[in-house]
Amino acid sequence: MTTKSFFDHERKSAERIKRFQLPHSFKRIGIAISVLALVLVLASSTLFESTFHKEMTKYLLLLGMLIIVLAKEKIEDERIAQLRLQAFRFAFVFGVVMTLLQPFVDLFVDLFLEDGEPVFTEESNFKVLWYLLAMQIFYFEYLKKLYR
Amino acid sequence: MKNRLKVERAILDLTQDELAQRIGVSRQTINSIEKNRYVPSTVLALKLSQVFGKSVNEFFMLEEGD
Repeated sequence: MTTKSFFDHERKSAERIKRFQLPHSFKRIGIAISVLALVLVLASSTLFESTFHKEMTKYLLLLGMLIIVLAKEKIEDERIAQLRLQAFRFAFVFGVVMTLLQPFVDLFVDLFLEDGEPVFTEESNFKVLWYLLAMQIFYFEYLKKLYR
Repeated sequence: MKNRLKVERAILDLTQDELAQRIGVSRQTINSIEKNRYVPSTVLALKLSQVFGKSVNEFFMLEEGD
């Protein structure tokens, strides 16, 4: 394989990834899964005893939110693509900043507001992914209203 | 960038929705362009040019500072 054909192949793959989206009907499915999972997450302490089931409800919530993020709008045009990209950018920066700051906020709370030894704890994978997905969804909807 | 989209649309007696359908975008996108909240791509500008039967710079004009 020559360098040129390698880059041609890579470009085609990148285009396919760029265009990958789920049909619009998946948005409703994503919302239904997310709402159901959210109820289960909130009630998990009373509904489930095993940690496995509690963790699975969290995964279900993230899966539902990912489906919403990947689902097309009814009319997916270039303006929507631009707003979607803007929302991804915002969600990425917000997610990283929150992940970096939250342990220090927790440490501060432990240090001044609660008794006991302050502990520096890193954010869980669930929280980080939740920040990213939630901010993408909410900021995208906000931008659609702002620029319509 | 200024535009005369609303005027051109009125000349052809098209609603935002009808124009949107002709060029394959949403009504909100046409509204955003008319209100100068969104600058369309070259492809979209050329599609509008086909509908209006005019060149792009007859309905999109640069402003000072652009």
